[in-house]
Amino acid sequence: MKKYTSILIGLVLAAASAFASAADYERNHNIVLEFGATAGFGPEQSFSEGNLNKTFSDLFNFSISGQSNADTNISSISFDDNGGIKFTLFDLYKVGSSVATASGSLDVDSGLWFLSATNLSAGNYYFKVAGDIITNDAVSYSGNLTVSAVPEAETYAMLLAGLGLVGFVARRRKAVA
Amino acid sequence: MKKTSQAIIATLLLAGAAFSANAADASHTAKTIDLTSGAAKYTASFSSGLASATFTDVFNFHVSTSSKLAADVTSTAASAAVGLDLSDFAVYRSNGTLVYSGTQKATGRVDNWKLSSPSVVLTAGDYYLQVIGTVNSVNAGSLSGNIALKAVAVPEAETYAMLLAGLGLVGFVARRRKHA
Repeated sequence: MKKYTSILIGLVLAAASAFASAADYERNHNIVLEFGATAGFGPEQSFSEGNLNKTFSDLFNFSISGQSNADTNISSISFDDNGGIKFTLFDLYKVGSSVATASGSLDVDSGLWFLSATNLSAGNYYFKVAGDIITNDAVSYSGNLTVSAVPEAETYAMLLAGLGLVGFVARRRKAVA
Repeated sequence: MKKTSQAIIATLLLAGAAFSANAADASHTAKTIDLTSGAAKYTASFSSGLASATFTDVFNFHVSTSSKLAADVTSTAASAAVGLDLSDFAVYRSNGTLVYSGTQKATGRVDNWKLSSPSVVLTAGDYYLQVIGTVNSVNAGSLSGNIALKAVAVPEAETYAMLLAGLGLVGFVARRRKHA
């Protein structure tokens, strides 16, 4: 009996913690990289009036086809001097990994959040954006992402091999002449 | 023969000069922002290979009741040499009259402009946000922004009429009581 009680308490506690961590808005979107390199992104639905103190946790999925650097920002606008949205998290994850690949941070001067990641391998990724709505007015947020290809190690190896070959041929020609 | 080749070279030079003088125009066709929920995001992307092309992008929106406006536009790139350079951000009436201009908050690797004038009220009608900029390099780039409207309470004629009628009634009753 005692055992059941402790299991029950455990379940209640687990449920409570799950409840506490759930955001009011949890949404999932796909970012389609235009021209394979860049995109503006943001939630499909903006927050209407009357969402003061609500929280959100949004995911934005995208994929990259080759080794790349990624540069991105998120921003929001509001009528309140202290802002409309207080971002609390801006992280980049590779699908399947529980550890963030890169974390964004607030630039105090501009009030914008930035995230830069270098040498990402090809694959599927997602941004996790979480925050609190600190205005009762309607508010939205958006960001842009630019991905630039980084030559992979094999590409450099191929370049070196090519140069070596040219050098070898030049040397041979000189020797023959 | 020599003269012909000289002429060809001269023509090529002239063509080259004309080409560099008229930087390509990378503007998109106007988009419309749906503001039914009071706030919305908007975006635009520019393909690679548009080095030094300029753009003037227009985002139309509708104001249904007298409102204040807040808007921003941002573009982030790997460095100041790539991505977009945003040089102007303003709100216009649909007839092309400038309502007011934004202020530049950041430039370089990140370009950020804000439009927020607490004293300016947009009366009901059609408006557009205009973003002017340059594509800095052959790399692709994008911009994104947010816009929000906040309705302001402007009493209508009927409200004033009701107020006057109420005052008149109070005055009438007061007068009657005094006589009684």
